[in-house]
Amino acid sequence: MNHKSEPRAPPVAAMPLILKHLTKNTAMHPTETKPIICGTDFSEGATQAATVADALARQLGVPLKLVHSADERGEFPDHLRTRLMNDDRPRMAKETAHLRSLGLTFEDELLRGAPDHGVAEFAARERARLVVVGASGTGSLWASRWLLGNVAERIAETSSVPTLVVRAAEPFLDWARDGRPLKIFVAVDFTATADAALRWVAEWQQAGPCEVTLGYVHELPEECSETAMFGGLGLSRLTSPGREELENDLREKASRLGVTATIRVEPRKARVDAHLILMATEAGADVLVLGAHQWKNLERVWHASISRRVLHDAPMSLVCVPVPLAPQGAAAAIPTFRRVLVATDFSERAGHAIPYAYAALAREGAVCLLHIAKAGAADEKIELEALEAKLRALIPAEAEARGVVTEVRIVEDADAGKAICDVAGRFCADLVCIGSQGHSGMAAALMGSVAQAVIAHSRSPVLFVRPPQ
Amino acid sequence: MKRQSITKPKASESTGVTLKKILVPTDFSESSGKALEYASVFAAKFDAAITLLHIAEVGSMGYEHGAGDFPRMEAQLRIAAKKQIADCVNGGAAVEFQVGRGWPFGGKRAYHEIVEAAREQHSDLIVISTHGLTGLDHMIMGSTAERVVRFAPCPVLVVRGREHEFIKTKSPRRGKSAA
Repeated sequence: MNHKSEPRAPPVAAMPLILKHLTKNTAMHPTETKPIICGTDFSEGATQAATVADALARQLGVPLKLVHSADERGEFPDHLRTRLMNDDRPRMAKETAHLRSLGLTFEDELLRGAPDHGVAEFAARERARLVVVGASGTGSLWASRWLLGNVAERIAETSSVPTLVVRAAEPFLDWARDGRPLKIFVAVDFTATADAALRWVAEWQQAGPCEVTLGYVHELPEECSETAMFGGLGLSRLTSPGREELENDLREKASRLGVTATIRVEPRKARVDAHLILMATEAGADVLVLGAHQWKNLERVWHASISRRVLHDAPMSLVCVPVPLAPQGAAAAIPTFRRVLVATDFSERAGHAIPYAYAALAREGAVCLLHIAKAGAADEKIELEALEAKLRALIPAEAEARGVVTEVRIVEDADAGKAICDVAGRFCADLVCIGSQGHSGMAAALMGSVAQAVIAHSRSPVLFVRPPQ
Repeated sequence: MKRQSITKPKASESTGVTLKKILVPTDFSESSGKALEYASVFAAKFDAAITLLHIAEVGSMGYEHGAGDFPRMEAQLRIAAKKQIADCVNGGAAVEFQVGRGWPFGGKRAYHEIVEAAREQHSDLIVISTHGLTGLDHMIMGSTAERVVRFAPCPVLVVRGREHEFIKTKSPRRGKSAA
């Protein structure tokens, strides 16, 4: 179960090194005993969330813990706390009695600390599987809510555990009790946040029937809309990844992460968050799943992320999945290269990178041969075909015998560095190979903007190959 | 089709790529650890030996306190660094280590030392981690990794230390961690 839930690369057979920091934190709880945590503020929404949490816990066969964070301000010394703070114990006792009378089974605990921190920290400590909270809390000041979100949103944003914000309980209860398929809409893109969301959905799919839709909002580049204004001059085929191409990339990504889903790609018509909510509503989703950045403190205000606005505005329940910690444990973090992207401009120096790309690859991997055409240079179909043939000619003869699948892509973009990172993200590359010229002196100081851009923006490791000296 | 000149028996046989020596510059940070992970993958695949290199920057401290006892400071730094390198590697078989001396300014900066070491040892690959700074941070700090890429005599693998999206592991309460 544990292994299923976190698909990882199998360990390389002959590792000469065992790194200490990899073996440090190996005592992971098995998935089966990870509890579900339900945060309550005694409101109606919280009661609803508790019934959902109970149904989910029964379905998944895990314990449920009901918690309330007692101290909003957290900093009172113990001897003053009883005098200054309302005692929440009677309220908690009343709430638990009520919930138990509804047939729920759980352990309860009073926490200290601000509600969001208290619950998020407790969940992390307990290594919870899921945090469940109600959407409509007792509320706080309008301005602070607008700026920082309410407690539920803050928990969802800061927790290191996936958080379910319940807005409607029925779909979950029907799913858990009657086996009605749960309609899940996943907001995806080509980042680690989307990977986290998809992994979570894959795990969820194993627990019961789900109808999953992946939604991607696709940004139209400016040139495209301009040419569209003049009746479309046929540039768009190259300037931006086509809808089918994106759909294929997404489908491949989803199946690699073990999710079977309907894919929907739409060009952006409104703000991304609004458009995602619209797509989810159209798909009739019961729950919207999204991965989230974990900005802290001031960074949160600074990076007004899409996930935060979706959290705020979505009319349906939603699950916020944090990007997990870098995998830990002895066997977890050994990288393997299964998908390698190599960029070429057909020059000699670029050619040196190709053998490295194939050499670094694990057996039966995939290589993407990428050429970035200068804007406008390849708008003719014939030229495009010629470029493709030229790229195919670069594939080493042994590649097929080794079981390596080679994919050829041509992208038209003025900014090569950005385009390479972009395609690497869509291809889910484990490694990017680029041929580079050795420079010295002034030439080195002036050149290499592509390398610089790729180093700054690439999510995957980048191998710069230079001609042998 | 088959190339005859290749001697390595492993993955290199069909692609014509051989790696014998891999140089891994380290500053003992978490991201350096990641670089070492990647290096060990290549080492396993190509039967290569890894050299860990730490550049101890002596300069700035010395200037502040007047004419320092550089040889002694350097010796101390070397001892500390060796200890830390030994800590990084748990029963490592093919790892050597080396401590170089860098100055924060002028021709003896870290990247220069790394490139020189690679040249001297005829390294086939340098694996280096970067913090991936962008914008203003990048303009001010620059990047050792970037300079190594520009000047290195051999291929360079640049590994991103910490993804921007990742949760901060060490200090959940206070905003900025070292990376």
